[in-house]
Amino acid sequence: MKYVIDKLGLINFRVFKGEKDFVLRPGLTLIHGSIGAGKSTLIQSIEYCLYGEQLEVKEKIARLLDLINEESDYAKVSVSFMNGDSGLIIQRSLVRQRDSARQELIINGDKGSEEELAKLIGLSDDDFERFILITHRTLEQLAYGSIQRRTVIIDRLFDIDYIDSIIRLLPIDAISSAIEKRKQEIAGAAEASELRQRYGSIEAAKQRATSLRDEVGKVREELEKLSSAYSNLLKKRSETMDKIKDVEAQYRQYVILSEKLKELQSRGPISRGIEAEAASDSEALKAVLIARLEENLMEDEAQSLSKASSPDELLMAMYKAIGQLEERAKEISDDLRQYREQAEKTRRDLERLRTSVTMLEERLHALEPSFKRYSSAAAEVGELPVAKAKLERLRLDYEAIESEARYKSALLEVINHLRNHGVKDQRCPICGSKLSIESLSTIKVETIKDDEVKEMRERLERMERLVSEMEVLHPIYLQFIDLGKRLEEARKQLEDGIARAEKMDKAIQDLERRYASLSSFIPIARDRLARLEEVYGEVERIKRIEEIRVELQKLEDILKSHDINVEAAIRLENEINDIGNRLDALRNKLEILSSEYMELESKLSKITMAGVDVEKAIREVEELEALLSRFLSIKDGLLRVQRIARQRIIEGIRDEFASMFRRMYPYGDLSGVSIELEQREKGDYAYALYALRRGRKVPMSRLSDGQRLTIAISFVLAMYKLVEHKFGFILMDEPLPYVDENVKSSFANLLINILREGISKQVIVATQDSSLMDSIVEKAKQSNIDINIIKLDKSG
Amino acid sequence: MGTKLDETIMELLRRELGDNADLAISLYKAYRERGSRGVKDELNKLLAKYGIEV
Repeated sequence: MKYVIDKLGLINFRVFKGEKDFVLRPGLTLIHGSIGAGKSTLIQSIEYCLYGEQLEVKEKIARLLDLINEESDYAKVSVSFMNGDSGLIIQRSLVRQRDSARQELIINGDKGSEEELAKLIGLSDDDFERFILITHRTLEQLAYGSIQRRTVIIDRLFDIDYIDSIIRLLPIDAISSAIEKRKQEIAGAAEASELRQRYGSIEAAKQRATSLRDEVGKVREELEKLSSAYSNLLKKRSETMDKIKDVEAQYRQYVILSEKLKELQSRGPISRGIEAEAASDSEALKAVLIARLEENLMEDEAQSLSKASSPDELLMAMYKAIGQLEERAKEISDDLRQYREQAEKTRRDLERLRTSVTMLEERLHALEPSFKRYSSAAAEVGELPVAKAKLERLRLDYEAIESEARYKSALLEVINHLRNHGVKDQRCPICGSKLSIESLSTIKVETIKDDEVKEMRERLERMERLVSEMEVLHPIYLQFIDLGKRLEEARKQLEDGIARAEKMDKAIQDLERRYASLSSFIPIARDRLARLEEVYGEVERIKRIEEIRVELQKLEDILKSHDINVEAAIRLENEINDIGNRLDALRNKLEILSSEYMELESKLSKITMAGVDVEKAIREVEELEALLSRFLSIKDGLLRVQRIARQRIIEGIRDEFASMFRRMYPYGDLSGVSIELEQREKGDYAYALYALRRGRKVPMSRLSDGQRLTIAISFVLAMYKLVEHKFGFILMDEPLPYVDENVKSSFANLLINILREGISKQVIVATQDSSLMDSIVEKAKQSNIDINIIKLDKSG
Repeated sequence: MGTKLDETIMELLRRELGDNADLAISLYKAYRERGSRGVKDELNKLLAKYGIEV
């Protein structure tokens, strides 16, 4: 069960003077009256009674004191609530006390506290204003507002609009401005430092700026004067030119030649006899150059130079000759570098050869004893192959003689044995003759002497020793021979190398001498040639001066014959030239001064204040940038939180919203409603309300007024139903100002539906709109809904 | 303060803002207790040393 309002009693409350009682019933209550009759006051009195405040006081539009009728010092509001059989009576009184008001709360006849009351009603004043007191602003924004405005109002209904408020309060712009200001100060300080360095102090820089401004002004004035004088002179020249039109060409020539003469004379006094001096120097230099060319074997070049005769030809030929000598010097220098490189290489080769010879000599010295031993053996027995052959023959001879000696000795032994022991019937096994002692005695065996065999063996042994030793020494002998040959070759190469190095050194010395000679000669020759050129130039100048004088004299005669004051005309030309030059100089000066002045002014304008602590400013910029980064991060985070909160709101209300719409909208053209979160172009998310027609989404902007109003009220009622509270009534204070009859009719139907569907037990609507009232009354009667009308007028 | 909504929002702030959650929550609480003035007071305390006033 929920509370509905049963009675409302007012004493001296705002426009109501004296005591007024209103009886209300469940169902529909219409409070109707003109502006100022007290309709809104009646609605507001309920909020005041419940919370001790009301919207105008909270928004500082009115003070608590203003709730007391201005002709009274005391006010009281009493509201009786019924909840089935139980009731709740809340009374709140106000007593004027100078500039404020004291209030007292009575609950069910006893003095009560705000906390006690809050527990009893279970809904905060903010929530009361959101769900119970439905304002036209809420309905209008929901029905007709832009996506942005609708999002703001939905956020407010759900009490998360403060996230947006906090985002808007974040000091991002203020910090950015502070950073920018400090950066400007730092830049200004840099400029100030530069100005101090340049001018000594900022004050001095300012003085300089002032002085520059004055000076620029003066130069401009002077320029104006000179420009004016210049114009006058040009005018005079024009007049003169008119006079001398017939001889203008001669006059102009005269002026040009006069200028030229002046310029030539200004270069210096005229030297006499300089032509002869030039010819003499030229011949001398030519001779020297030819000699040098010939010395360097440049015959063609020398001949070409010798043919030159006029000063121009000579100068050109001599410059060419010097250039050629320079080329030759460069060639010599290149040759010299190559020779030096070769000489260095030869020296390195010689060093290697010397080392090689020394090593060969050392090795030969080491092998020499073995070589000698081999040579000595070879002298005795011949070269190794011969010795080996001899040894073989000797070995065969020895074996033969040694074998023969052994045989003869054995034969003799046998013969002697037979002689001593007899040879009975023995026959010779070879010839078969009968052997006898006598016959044995005839046998003579010439034995070989032992000495002879011994001597032969000793020869053989010696030979074997020598051959063996030669075999060992033979490779050394061959190596010695080979090394000897190599040593001989190396010595030969060394001698050749030394001879070559000596030749190269001589060539280098020669090139060095030639290069040094040319190198020292060329700059001297150039100097002499440059001097000669100057002398020739001077000769040319003198000639030209003479020629111009002659020409000028002729022209002067012509001009005089035409009665022209040449001197005056020339003076005029000179003056024009002079002033023209001064004008150029002044313009340059003005440009320099203006440039400095503008730069100085620009820098001075950046210096906002004196004594900026640059270090501190830089530190603060860093700190502020860190803070800015934090706040930007907080902003992003808050936007994310806002999006999540909005998404949760949608998830929480979507079904109830759709259900409420179906109850409030009985027609078949729209099948339902939806609420979604949509990302907008700038990246944030906003609520989008849609109606559904044949499964397709239809945005609010394409719906009729009645459909929009139904969606708006369905949304508010969905919230009213979702939020837990103890109130069974809805208050509407002028819910639809300035709408047409169709909308009023639709609204009347909606009110009837709220009651018929049991969404709320009591709906209290305050309006000054008679046609809206009539429409509601008519619909209520048609639907058999109880309706209670409270009519108010200004008389109370 | 201390309602379910406040707790939900502060939990979201902690989750979404990381190191900056404490500052964001202090601004949130200041707004819930004293409205815009409360947030401005908090910010001014932070920014006073730089001569910034919001």
